[in-house]
Amino acid sequence: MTPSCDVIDQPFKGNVQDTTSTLQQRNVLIEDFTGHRCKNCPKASKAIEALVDAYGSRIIGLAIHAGPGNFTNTNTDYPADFTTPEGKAIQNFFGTNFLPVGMVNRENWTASGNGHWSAYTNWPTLSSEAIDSTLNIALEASASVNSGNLEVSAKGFPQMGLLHDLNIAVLIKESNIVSPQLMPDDTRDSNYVHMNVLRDYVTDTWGESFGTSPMLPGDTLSGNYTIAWNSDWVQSNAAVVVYVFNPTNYRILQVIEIPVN
Amino acid sequence: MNRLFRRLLTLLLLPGAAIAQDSYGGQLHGNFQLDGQWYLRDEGIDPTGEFYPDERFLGQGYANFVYTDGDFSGGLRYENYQNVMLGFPEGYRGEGITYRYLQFKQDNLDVTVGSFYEQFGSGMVFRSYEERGLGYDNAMDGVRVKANLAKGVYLKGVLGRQRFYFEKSPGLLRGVDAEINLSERWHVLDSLGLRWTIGASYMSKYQRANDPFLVLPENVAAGGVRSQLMKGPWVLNTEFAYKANDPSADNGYIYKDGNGFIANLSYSKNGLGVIAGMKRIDNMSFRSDRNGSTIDMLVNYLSPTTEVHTYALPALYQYATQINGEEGIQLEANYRFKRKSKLGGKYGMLVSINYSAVQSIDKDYVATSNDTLRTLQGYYSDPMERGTIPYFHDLNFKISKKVNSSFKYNLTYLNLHYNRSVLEDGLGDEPMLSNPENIKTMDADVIVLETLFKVKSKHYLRNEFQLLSTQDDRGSMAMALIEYSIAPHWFFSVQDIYNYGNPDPDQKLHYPLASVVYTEGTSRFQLSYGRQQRGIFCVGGVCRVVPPSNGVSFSLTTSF
Repeated sequence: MTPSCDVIDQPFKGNVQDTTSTLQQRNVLIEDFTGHRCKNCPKASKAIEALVDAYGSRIIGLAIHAGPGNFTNTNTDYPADFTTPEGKAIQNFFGTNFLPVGMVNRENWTASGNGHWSAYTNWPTLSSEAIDSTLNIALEASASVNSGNLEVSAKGFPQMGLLHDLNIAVLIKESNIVSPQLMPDDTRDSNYVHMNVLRDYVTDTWGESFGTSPMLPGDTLSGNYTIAWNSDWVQSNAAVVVYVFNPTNYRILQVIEIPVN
Repeated sequence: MNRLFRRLLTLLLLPGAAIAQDSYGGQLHGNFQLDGQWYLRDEGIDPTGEFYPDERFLGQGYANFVYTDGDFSGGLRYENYQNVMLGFPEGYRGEGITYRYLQFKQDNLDVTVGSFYEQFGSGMVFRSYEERGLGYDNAMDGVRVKANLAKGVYLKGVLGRQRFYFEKSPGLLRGVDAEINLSERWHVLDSLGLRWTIGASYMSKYQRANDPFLVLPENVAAGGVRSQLMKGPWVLNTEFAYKANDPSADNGYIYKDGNGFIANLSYSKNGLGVIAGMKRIDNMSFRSDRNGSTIDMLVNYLSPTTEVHTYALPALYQYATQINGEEGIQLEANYRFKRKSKLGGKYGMLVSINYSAVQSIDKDYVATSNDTLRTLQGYYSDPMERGTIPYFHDLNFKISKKVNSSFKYNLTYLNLHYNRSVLEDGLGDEPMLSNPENIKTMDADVIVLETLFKVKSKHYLRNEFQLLSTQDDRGSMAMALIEYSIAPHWFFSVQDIYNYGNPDPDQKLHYPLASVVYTEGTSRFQLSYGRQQRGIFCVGGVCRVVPPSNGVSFSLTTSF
């Protein structure tokens, strides 16, 4: 064609996962707004699976069942209520009313814009860019259930000078939940396996203060968080997600996922 | 340029522009619109409250200001959405100046900087336009240069990015269009009664790619050639477009190239008008963001080959162009019986018939396991083979007759076939071919009688009676409308749609709506109260979903 047209004969790239580095790198939280009566939503879930296959644990998916009632409400065919007040609050604040849609590390948020929203088809590109970006703060955490309470301990290690405050948010998600889902071909899959379903926030939905500006490499930030464990959640299928973010623009600087012991 | 500079200064000081009119001879024009609706909870049309907005009241509006002075013009548009009304794209959040431009003409050049709308040919390669009723606006922001290079030779060049609500699309657009009016250049054609125009266009988008799995083309080009030939009552328009590999969310990230062809032949003479059109498009979705969806950031425009109906009931089942592939034909004939003829009567009579049909294109899908070369072509299509999935057909007859000096009527009959799986659910051809028994359709017969009475001087009564008869979807509906207008100020309207055939007894609902309009000069105020049922609103084959609502709405428009 012309200099302004790229004709691609071999579309596929090779393996993209970097297995050489042992240092913590910037991870990616994909908040996938979904619903069990949203027929295109399984495609978004598959997109996360593909990214996890490619990048391993550096991709952390979170399925937030929130949005229009015709996609998320229960009825006799779709009896499980996966919605949460926290998910609804996040959906309302960031302002969308269609599914599936998502945010990748909550990048590019503005009060009146839509730059923070992305279609699942754009998650590979956005994840790749986030993964290549610089890590500002490293995180460590542990989680265990003791006497009916989930106790989470988290530590943060600034990797560079941070001249803004930091908030930390801790949440619980659960996978391998078998429950009906409307599929892209308009059929109902009664044995659909729901992954990464947001169950609850251990902290407030908008986090808690974790560090005050300025923070420097060598500083250690820490916090402990507790919530009553809901016995309906299957502990072996559950995980805790910890992320730190800039409270002025909600940009997530680092996120990790840890098992519940 | 000094004069130009002074005009520029005048525009930048817009509040003083009107005062400056005497000095520079310029004129400031504008228009303003404000719409709002107070929503009422209505469990009949929205049992779970999923469409009932938290805000209760939603309002939005805009104002345009355009200053012109000779060959110079400039303008801006302010838009506000607090918050965007139901049914419009959610992307409209907030307020701000969304359109501003400066334009001047000099030395056979027409230069625009800032925002602009433009179109190459029919739009198959590029069309930037606004359709406010849809909430559609893909205005360019950049530079446009038009040049008249020689007699009958016109060139356009555009460079910029498209509007994406209150932001810009991630893709960059670069395009040129050339058009030659052969009859202007060679008068021998003119002397033969031929008017012939040919054109060619090229558009390239650039969007950065960083996909971990796929090598995505960052530069994607499309080009087209077209011709318009006129002789006497005959007009023949043809256009062909080609687009290089453009994996996108629309086509499922396949690397197949795209193409499109449209042709229209029309004849008009002695009261007889005939139009025959055909179109075939294959993988012609072209957006300035490969991940775009719905009506966002479309670079091109694929005109529909179906008739657009304005009557309320047939408008519930409008056709939306399928950008991933469709083929269709349209035939229309109308004849005006002359005054004082046997059928024409004292005032004449217009009779028309229109048939349009659209279906899928032939697609031979390449299963992943068979894609041994891993080229991700997706499918192969033979343009000589017909697709097997009907998307839509519309056969309609109309009679329009003025009976006497105070009474006129229009009678319309339509037979519709509407593929709901495609046009409402957005299902692709592949799952429909796999499970044809699951395809949802709607077949209906529709009759519309519209009458217009002149009651007395400046007093008019218009009625509509519509009946949509179907066993499918929401079932049959009937509608009655009465409008009474007192020119030039007042207009009253009452209507009701009764969905008497709905298979769900709880949804056999009435949808009443009452409106009053007051017009004074160029200003118009409308107040309405009633229910609106869910549906699809389309303009030119581009559609958006409208949710059900109930409430009091108003609209104020004015211009100066």
